[in-house]
Amino acid sequence: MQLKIHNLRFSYPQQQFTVKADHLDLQPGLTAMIGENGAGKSTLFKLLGGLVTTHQGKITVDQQPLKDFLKTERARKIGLAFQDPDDQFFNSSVKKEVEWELRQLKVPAKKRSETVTAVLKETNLSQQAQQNPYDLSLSDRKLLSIATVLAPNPQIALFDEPMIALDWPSQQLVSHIFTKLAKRGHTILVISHNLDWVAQNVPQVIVMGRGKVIFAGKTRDFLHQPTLVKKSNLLLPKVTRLTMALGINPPQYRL
Amino acid sequence: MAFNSKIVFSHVSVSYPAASQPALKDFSIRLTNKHIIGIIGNSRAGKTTLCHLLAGTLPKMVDGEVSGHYQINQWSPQQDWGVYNHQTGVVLQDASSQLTSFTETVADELAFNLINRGIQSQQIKKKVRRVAQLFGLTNQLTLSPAALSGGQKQRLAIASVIVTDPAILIMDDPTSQMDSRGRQIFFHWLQQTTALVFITSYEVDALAEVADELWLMDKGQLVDHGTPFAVFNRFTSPRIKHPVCWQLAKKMGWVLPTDGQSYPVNYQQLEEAFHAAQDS
Repeated sequence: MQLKIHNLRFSYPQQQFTVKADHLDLQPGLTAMIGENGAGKSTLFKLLGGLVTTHQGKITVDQQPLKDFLKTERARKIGLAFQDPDDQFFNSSVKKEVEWELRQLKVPAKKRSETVTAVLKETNLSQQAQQNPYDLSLSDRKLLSIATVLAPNPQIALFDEPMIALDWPSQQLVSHIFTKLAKRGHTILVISHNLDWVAQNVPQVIVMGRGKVIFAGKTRDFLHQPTLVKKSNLLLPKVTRLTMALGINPPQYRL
Repeated sequence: MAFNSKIVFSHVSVSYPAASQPALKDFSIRLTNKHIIGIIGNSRAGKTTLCHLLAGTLPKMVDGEVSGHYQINQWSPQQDWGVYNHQTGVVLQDASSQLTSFTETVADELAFNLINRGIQSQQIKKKVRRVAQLFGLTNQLTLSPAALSGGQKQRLAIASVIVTDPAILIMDDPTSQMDSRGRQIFFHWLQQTTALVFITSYEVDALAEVADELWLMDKGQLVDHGTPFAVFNRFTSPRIKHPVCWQLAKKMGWVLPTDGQSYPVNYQQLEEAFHAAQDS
């Protein structure tokens, strides 16, 4: 499923900052959106998810304008996990939170139960099933926000900084989930500040800077342009900086 | 730089209501002259609970049962709360929840704590400008805090705490939403601060550079403590992320010449190990 942007312009009311994207093409697979704080990543995330709308330009899903979708259609096709997981929870238990969208999509009870059990197992939240989401640690709330996206199995899934507050084993778990979904042909977009993780795991990257798309393409092509990385106000992956400082060849980016 | 501090925890345990296991179990440590203490460990290790204890908010504001005794410098956070609170700055894991939510601008947010302390207006303006510049918020001073990105809010939360120059800082994963440059600026600033710092973070590379003491926590217990060099070389489990310097040196077989078996955890040690490998 293909998500495209055409001549998009968006500003929040009473703010000077504008997000501009002339042409973006999100193909099936794993893509990272990176950029300095305040670059417009979360704003573009909200536009792609249909949470905010603009009258300038358009976003299409398989050539159909996103704004023409009914909310249930959009929910079937696009899943969203917010940067702050507390912005998206409103059920009294972890299990109910994961199940909620499946209910809205009229998934039969037996299938719902099986899906919830499987997703909780996949995200290591089985033991927390009966807990109130707000009683979980921040790390577990982040995993729950990811679980709520996995359950309805949307073709397009957008994750705003999913690795925040995750410990090392959980980061590896989530990374594995994203890679698995991408291999199955889902379109996965992940906003991340972790360029080390992006360099090792994500083949495509969109780089935002001051509201604009500075680069869109292969991650390794971006990382092989130090001036562009510097212009984006980002730092190269740590291992690259270390090897450069030692005066030896940096590692090859395999993806 | 010689640093004067005293940290004593004596058999401290914490249990939360309706939790089946204690969040912190029999935590004991006695240290002097430490500057930056990094607290690391996986989820549910007890790191945030330790932060609440250090901030004095457990059990005053966070419901939990605390046993044992602990002291930071000359104060007991529980018994000397009023005095201790005045000396401390706390940065929570969730930056948004820390902001006042009623200031109209970033400048007002930064000034809030200073106004409450009766600081003179000219002094406030100076301190606000300085801390905004330090954390890259100069261009955002006239904006509403609500208009900031997640990473900018995190910088604002930190700036609004350090603007009061606290003697003790407790920071729970303060850079999770920051971009790489923001983290670099923060940890560079951290190295220069004269405050006693307790910081939980998953940024093990940065902690290995700036911390003089690491506490490794797991399931509510202190598993190991010492310098980053000692802890990362003693505890080699893949469940804990090691600094990139350590991983690179291990992959390349670059050991430190001091003992011929330990790997470097910061850049200075990496250089040493690299040159030793070149010379051998």
